Amino acid sequence: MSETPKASPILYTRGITKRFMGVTALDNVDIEVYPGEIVTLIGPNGSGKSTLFNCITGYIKPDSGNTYFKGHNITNLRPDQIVLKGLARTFQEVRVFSSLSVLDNLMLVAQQHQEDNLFHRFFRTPRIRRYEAEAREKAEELIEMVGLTRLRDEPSGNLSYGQRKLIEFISALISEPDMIMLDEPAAAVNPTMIERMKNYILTLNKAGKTFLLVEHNMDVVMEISHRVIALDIGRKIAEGLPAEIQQNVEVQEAYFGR
Amino acid sequence: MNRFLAWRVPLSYVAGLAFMLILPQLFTTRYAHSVLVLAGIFIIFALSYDISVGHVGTVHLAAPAFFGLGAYVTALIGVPLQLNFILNLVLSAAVMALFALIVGVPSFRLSNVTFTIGTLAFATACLQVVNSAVDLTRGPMCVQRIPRPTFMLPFIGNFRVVSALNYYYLLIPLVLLTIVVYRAMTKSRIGRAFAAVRDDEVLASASGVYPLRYKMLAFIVGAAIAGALGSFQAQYLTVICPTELGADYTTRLLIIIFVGGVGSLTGLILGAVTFTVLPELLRGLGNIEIAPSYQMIVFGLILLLVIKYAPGGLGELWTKFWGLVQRPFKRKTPVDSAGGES
Repeated sequence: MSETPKASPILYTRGITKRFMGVTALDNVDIEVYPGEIVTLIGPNGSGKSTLFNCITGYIKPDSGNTYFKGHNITNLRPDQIVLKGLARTFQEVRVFSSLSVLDNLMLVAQQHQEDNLFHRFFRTPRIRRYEAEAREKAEELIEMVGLTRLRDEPSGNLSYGQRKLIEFISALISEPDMIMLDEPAAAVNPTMIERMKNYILTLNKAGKTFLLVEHNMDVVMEISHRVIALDIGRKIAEGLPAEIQQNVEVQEAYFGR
Repeated sequence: MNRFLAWRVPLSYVAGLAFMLILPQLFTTRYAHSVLVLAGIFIIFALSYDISVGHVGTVHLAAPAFFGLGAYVTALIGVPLQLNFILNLVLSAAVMALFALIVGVPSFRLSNVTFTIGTLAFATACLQVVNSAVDLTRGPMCVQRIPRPTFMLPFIGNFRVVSALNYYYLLIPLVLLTIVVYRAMTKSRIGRAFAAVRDDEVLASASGVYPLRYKMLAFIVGAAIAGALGSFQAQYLTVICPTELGADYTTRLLIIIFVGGVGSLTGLILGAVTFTVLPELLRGLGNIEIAPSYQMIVFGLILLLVIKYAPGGLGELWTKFWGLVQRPFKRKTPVDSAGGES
């Protein structure tokens, strides 16, 4: 793996194991993601990609093993604590706060990263107004980036699937995380949207963001990934450059059988 | 933003206050004044309950427990300590906030429906304890002779609150304070976080919001307000019975909230007024006496009509009405919407 940067990984897991009622969903999984990389997890359905995502982001507690992010053990933190450490994520089934407007969806996330003080909040001191203005400015900038300015005040539940997917994506960006985990960013959207998603990811990556993706669309995987990790029935079966993984016999067997 | 809209909120406060001050001059009987006090009580009660139910989306059934126990805190602790009116309210609020904290920690471990039933169990247990602990609470014989509030006023000297009208004017600042707290809790940052928890807890977590923190916040603030209101009730009725913890309140609150409009300040006020004044109007409509059991039929009918024709409640109708009135003044849509203030 000549392209692997020399720096220490921004995120790594050691021996993550998770069983659901006797079924082993993850079996001793070690992965590393280095700063500035785009790494993609692939594998057939039920191979444990989503479970691994949920273990890393605190939604599922692994039976054993640990996750380290920026040198800290985050295994036992709650999801909200992990995102505040700079590790943002999206969901496979697109999630937005449907009763909140597009703008409020984004401002909500931005505000969680601002200093909090009940006194200031309650009396709406100038500091709170400034924070509110900052959050709004950031939100409007990102909404403009994905071209949804016209729908800014619309309840996000009224938006189309693709639009909601964009909102979820920029919601993950607004906190300026060090690393972003996207669960199937190219799933169930039209080819134009896939192109746009790809471009956003590549642009942000050039600007220094690290990505860990789960993706089924192999064209996208091959095009944007620096490195691919393949899972099958809860084990890591291969890891390497996209082209290497494409040729890997074990990966092909996992997908198509012997 | 349009100037008219920027001043809308303070203007509506002034208008509302003026309206509340004038009301007892329009309806001058003592009976009318007691109905007004009742309406005020239910406005505060509904707002305190709606922070949890409407904004965070946790339906709990413990509101009458906090209200009734708040009344008993005044009757059994405040009175022997000879606390004044305001200290009684503060004491009841503080004790009920603590209570909510203790009850909330295990209750919120339960998921949705189980949580609701769990809080009902808590409320029922409280009622039974108050009913049975005769040595402490005198049980169904009620605690009597709770002193009426007295204030030291300049020029007048000691002023004792006696008539329903006195109590009405005493209640107005409390209603306003509750509205201010309600608005502060349900707008901007906290309001957005509340709505986030209500819409999708999983996504809220991924956005850096800890759902339990906001559920607890709403639960505790609601309990504190209900407790203080119970203290007012004790000092208003001067008699407190276990029925103050009864589930009748829950039914009434739920009707007010759902007919008024979940999460809507205007709607809740309209709902609370409707369901305190309407039964009184129905009681003696012209010369036809309508029996209380027929009242429930009218309530049911209203509930049905609202669900059919205005699922957002009276609050939604009100907003639509104002939207039509304001249209000529509007240039741009205001963008300060948060939790669902309307």
